[in-house]
Amino acid sequence: MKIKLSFKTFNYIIIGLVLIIAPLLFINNYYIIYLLSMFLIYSILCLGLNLITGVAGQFCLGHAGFYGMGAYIAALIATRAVGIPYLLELLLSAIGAGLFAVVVAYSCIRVSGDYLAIITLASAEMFRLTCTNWESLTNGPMGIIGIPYPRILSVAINNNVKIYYLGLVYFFISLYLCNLILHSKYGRAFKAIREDEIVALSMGVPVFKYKVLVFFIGAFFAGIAGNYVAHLIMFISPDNFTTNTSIYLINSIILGGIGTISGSFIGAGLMLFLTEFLRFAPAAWRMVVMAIAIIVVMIKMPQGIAGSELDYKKWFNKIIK
Amino acid sequence: MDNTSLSHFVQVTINGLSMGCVYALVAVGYGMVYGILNMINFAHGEIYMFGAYIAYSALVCKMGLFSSILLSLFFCGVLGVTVERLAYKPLREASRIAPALTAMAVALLIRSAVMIIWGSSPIMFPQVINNKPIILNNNIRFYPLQFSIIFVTIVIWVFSLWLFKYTKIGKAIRAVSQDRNTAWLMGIDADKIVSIVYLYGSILAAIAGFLIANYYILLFPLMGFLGTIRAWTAAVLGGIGKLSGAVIGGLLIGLVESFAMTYISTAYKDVIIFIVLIIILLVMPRGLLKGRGQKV
Amino acid sequence: MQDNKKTTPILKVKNVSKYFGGIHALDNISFELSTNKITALIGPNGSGKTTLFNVITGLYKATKGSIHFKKRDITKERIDKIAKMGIGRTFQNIKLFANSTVLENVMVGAYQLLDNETFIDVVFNTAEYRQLEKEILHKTEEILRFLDLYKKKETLVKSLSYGDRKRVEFARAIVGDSKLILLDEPVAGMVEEEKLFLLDKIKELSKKNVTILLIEHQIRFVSELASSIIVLDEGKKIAEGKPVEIQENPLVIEAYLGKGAR
Repeated sequence: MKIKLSFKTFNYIIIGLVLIIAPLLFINNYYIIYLLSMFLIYSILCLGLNLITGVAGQFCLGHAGFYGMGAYIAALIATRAVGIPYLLELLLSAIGAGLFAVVVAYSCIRVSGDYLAIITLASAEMFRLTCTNWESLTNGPMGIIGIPYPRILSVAINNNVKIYYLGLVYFFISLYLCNLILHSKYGRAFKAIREDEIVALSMGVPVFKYKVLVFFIGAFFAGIAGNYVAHLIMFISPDNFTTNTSIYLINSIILGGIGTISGSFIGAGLMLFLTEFLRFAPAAWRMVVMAIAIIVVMIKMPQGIAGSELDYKKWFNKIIK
Repeated sequence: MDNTSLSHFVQVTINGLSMGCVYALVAVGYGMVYGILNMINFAHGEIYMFGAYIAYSALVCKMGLFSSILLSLFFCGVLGVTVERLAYKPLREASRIAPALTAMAVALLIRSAVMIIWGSSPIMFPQVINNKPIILNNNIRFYPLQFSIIFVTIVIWVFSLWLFKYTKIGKAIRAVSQDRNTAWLMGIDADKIVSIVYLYGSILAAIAGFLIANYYILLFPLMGFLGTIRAWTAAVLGGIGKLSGAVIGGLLIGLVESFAMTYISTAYKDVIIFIVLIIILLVMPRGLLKGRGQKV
Repeated sequence: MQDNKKTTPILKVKNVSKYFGGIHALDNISFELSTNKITALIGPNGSGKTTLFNVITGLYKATKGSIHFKKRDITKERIDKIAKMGIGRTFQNIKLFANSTVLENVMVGAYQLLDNETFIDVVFNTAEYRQLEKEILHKTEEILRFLDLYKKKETLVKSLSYGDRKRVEFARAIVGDSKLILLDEPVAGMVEEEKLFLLDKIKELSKKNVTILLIEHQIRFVSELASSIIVLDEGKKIAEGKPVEIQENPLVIEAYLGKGAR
């Protein structure tokens, strides 16, 4: 059998291998492994957001809310209801975030576009403010500390490398699921909704139902990422889930390439690199550099990096031939 | 309702109205850009913050009240137009989300610049306007500053309406906001009109920034972002593209905020504002004054 | 007229009116479409043809009257439900997804064939799901071949010619196996050759158990294609009948050429 190696699969294989091998090379470097884990989290978040905003065209500025919902459910269960098995807790995080998104989508029943953007932003802010002020449950602005490492059945995930690989599993599963959804009738219907709701309806797509569905799926992934971050950092507070986080995520997907799967993790990686690379600089200067980078990339490549025809693609195609 | 709670009620209304007027001022400028370019200008609130900081520095340098205001208006106008030319104009034909993203980046840029120049911790704004409260009967306090805020807002509102409806430039602005390409064909320099709208919006933002700085006597870099959110909420509440809608939206938010703070809870005031927003959009999807529908 | 009686009508429009404020866009329109026939809807600009399409497909709700499709009342049904029952359509000002390929565009039209594809199937990538997707791809490609678009299936729609785009939209309307297809000016703006090609295809399609209602400006074209013609003017139905009858109808001539022309 002749294996047809396309540019895309080639890239995926390389990235997969790098992600599997990288932590082994830096096994004693806590910082690098932490960064790689954060990369996985942001990639999963961006995948979900890209489904909502990139594929289905629903400008969502409240992804941090779904992410936070997942994280808070995880933290509360892990610290207060110790008996519950980890996998159930994971499922509850994901579904809880998904249901939150369904409520948000229902409150957008009659609006779209920018009106939807502000309602999503408002929902995430409402979630954060509630977490900040409901001290008896969430410990308020101090956040929840001491979230333990997870334990899957009898396997204890008890160090940073193991938890990295747990995240990698989530990342691969999310990538795989996104790919499947994107190429099914659901993905096509989402794209149709983005392009023209009237056409989508005329082709028999129940537009509103699908909008709710895409919010659920996107938030489901965000819930998984939230669950993971709670166990990774072992501490969460409302400050992790501000509008800035939502904007950071939107930035990532637009820089990476809106509506594309690869754009999600390219963007996540790039934004993480920008923030971490400039760590030596004072915070304000770091933001200046980042802002200028975003403006320049946007003006030069409005479709994002994955959306642009870059030279290295042509170069690859030449080599293959 | 007995006498004290009635006067309390009046007091809360006055406070809400004056806060609402500041939001309305920011929202009018914001809404104009929104209406004409159909883009979410995330940097609008940062210009308002920038204006307040400029005025602060001018006042600290012992410049007069009037010249400080002028200086702040000038800097904000220049900033607004520069930002438009450099960051938004190249993206006018791109998808709708791209300019919103550069706007976020510009906001970040201005905020960081302010942090670098003035520091990130809050600073006290010098009190220059005589603000001794006039105490009416029933112990209602009415600050001269509140009066000037309300007065300035009404003047600017009426002026903007006049500008929009009856002047040549207003007609050109309306033409461009309906269809930029057709406007070009009719011989209107759409680029120039867009710049003028930015200039006007930025100047209004600067005025609002100056007033709010005097009102709260406190400056902090994040006030720009909060201003953007407030202005956006107000513009959406009133109906996108409607000038009076922005004013009404701003006033409503101010009142809701003031009442929520007094009668319900300070901590949840933003939650309450957002709940009001969501309910209004559920009932009236295009806002109070039926603004134009939105397409992504 | 006698042909109509033999077959049962697939679509029954009864006393339908549509008002926009004070404007009567459609005024008391009634007609029936007989199964597997081509019917043309003609009339001058602004006579309400496209409005009628929008009312039938549920985009607008009729102010008065009722519409029955396959003996079911669809007057107040949702747009997507109506589409799912088997009414496909094209749009006057082509509505395609410019940044997607021809294949992707047409596959959207196949949505209604995929009722059995559940979300669970997709997520677990079941054999059944893969089979369904394969069939849909096949079917889409078949339609593309039928319309001579197969070679362009990977082309982005924005780089297609006008005639090609019209055909892509036509493909999207028919790929879902709809029993009733509404075509809004399917050949307008095409070159002569393309027109003839598409007219041929429309005829061929009607032999495959499909009813067609199409809007067209020129009587000349529809008379050789349609078995009956409905004429609208200012929202009213002014005539209905076989092409020959219509061409000689004085009311129709007046509507087209204006009162002073006679």
